[in-house]
Amino acid sequence: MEFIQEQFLFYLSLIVVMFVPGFFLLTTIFQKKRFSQIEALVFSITLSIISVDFLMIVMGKMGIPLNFWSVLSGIALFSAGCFFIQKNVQKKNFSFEFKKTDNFSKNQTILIVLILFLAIFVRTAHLKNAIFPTATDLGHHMYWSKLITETGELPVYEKQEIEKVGESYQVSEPSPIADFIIGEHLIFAAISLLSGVGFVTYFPTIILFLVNIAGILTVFVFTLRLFENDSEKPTSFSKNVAIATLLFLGPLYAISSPQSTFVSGGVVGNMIGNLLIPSALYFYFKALKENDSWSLFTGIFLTAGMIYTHHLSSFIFIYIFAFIFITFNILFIFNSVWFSKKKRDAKKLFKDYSPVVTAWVKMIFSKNVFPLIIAFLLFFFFVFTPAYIETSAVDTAIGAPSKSTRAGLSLTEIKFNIGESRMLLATLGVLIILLSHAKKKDDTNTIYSSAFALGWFVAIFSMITIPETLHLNLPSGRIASYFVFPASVLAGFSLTWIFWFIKITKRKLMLPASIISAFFFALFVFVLVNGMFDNSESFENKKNYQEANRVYHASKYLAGNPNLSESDIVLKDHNYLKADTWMKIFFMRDYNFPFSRSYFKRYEDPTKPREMCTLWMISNPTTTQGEQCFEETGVNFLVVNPKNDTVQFKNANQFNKIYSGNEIVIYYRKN
Amino acid sequence: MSQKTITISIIIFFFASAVFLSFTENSQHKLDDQWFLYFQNPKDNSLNFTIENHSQKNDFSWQRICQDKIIQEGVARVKKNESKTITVSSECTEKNMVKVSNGEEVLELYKNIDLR
Repeated sequence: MEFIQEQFLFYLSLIVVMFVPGFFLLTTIFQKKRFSQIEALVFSITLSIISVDFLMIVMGKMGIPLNFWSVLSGIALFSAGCFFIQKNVQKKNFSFEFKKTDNFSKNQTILIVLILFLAIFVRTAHLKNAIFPTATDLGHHMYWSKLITETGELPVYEKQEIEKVGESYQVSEPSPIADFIIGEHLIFAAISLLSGVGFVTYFPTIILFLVNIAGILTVFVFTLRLFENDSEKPTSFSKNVAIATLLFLGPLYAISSPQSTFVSGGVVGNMIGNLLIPSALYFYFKALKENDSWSLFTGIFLTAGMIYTHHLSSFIFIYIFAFIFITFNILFIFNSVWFSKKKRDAKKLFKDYSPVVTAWVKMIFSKNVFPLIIAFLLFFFFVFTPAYIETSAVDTAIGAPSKSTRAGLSLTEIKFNIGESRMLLATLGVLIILLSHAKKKDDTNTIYSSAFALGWFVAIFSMITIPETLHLNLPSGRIASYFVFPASVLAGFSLTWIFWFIKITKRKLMLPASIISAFFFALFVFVLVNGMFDNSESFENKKNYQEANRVYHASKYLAGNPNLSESDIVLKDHNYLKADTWMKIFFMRDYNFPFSRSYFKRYEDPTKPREMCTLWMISNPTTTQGEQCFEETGVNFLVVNPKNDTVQFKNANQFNKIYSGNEIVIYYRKN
Repeated sequence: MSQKTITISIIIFFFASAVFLSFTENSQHKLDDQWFLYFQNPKDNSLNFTIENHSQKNDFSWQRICQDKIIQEGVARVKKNESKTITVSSECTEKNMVKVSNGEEVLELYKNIDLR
């Protein structure tokens, strides 16, 4: 009964935090009939995430304690404020009417519902064995979210470390961490504050699952807009492209990164980034296509949110933006010059280009957008600067690749990352779009469409293949996880285009119907088999929750023991204990507490020398070095797996074995 | 109409999946087929220990060993998902070991008293 009540409160909080503020903001920014229902749903989620982030940052900075009442009141006031503006300033009747032109045919609707069912079903099947909170990254993130709920303040991203000073070792003073950004943690804190659900539960993964589904749907609606300009093709073409894209992102390749694996792995920043990037692109595209400053306003608002959520996503977005700009200019110049009678007519080019630039400038300096840009810059520099700017993390991301994992991926590795059929079709999509521009003179909106589709794809492709040329020093594999979305859009486009092309040219081709059917069948089977094979490869059947339960039990024993005090220091092993990063959530003393014996290879990395105490205190506790470490750091409790670490403690008189379970023991050392 | 159908489908599918996953995760939190042994106070010289049982076996036998000699022993019945604390004397000033068996598996604890 208690669990059912908890569930009820959780879903209620989910609606309050992740739907209500965004919905009110969306309906205030835009007039009626501007969005379809799916768009309203996904953008309400996206805008809610960013609105709640900014709301909590402002409240935290104003010294308002972040608790149940303040967060609930903040969201209620924000939503009521939006409602008030609609009623009294915009004089709108509050009846949000949806755009009706986006309706799908009956068959298309059935297909979309089926794809969505399969998309959620495959993910659910995967998450069934991965929903239990064990993932390292998620454990790290949830520490900060829990800290917000416990202190009622915005977290200071700092940690203590064991450090070597001269010949001795000590626990350092807290020093800043660049890896975490506030926007990754506020949304989880808000939901926990409102629902009361604990952090070592299903809830963080469910939130990421929702973010993943919203991300897929955002790409779906973006694709729908992206290809709806083409006058050559039937109106159903863009809808079919969107459905094909949904197929590539939904049930196919559903588990490998950045999809369900990232959900269970708690790759929070990447997940939210993969929702915000297509959302921001959607609004920038809409702004340019419809010459709409409110869309630009929303795009900038989402980009600002991205900056406060994930540095890698923001960094990648800058490149995407730059490549879209370059692609647009190349296509525009080509379009203007190629179809001009005088091939080198600069005046003609200027004449074509000037209204486009004028429209951009007008939008940027409009009364909606310009104040937002100024407000954001003031907020960024004077109210809350993200930790990664203050800790110079940006400097380390720019420059020559410092490791082999940052030197780029080969085509085979890329193919492995995003799937053979998707890669093949996406490449074909690039060629089709490029060739289509050589055929006829296009209007600016068609060029925008191509620039967004190609620029998004080429930007990430370049970042993972030629990082050195782009002065990038970031893990190439990690960037590749952003490649999946644009590749799916282009794969969806080319798959639909092939079907459309054969349909309109089958008479000219004079091929028997049976051969055409066989070709379609083979293509479809290739796509499905490749995508489902990828799912089966990524599927994890291993149930490891009992191992994690043991670690949580040991953590509770230590953290809740009245005989332990602040002076007691715990060291645990990261090599042989499952879910050990979650131990810090039971103690809540420091991000690095308990200290950790890291992966053995890290102690041998010549490029990154590190302290050895955490290794010696578990691996060689009775040696002179080990003894010195215990004396100087004050570590007196060790949590290890007895299968791997027993012998070194067994005959050492200074260690007491105080806790014992299957595959987990705790030793106490009297200092 | 189609937009409405799709939107409602998304909400229903997601909600059903989230409820299923939540219940699955909640059931996984139950410790299963294992038991734990620990000292009540890890830091002092007291040897009082607790058996926490999450296995099907309810009968435990325990021994207190000092200098390889059994100086005290007994049995304890601990039902599943319950724990029992056993109070023992601590007059031995050597390596004090507590061994507990459930018939299949043996767990041990020890404290080195007054040696340092």
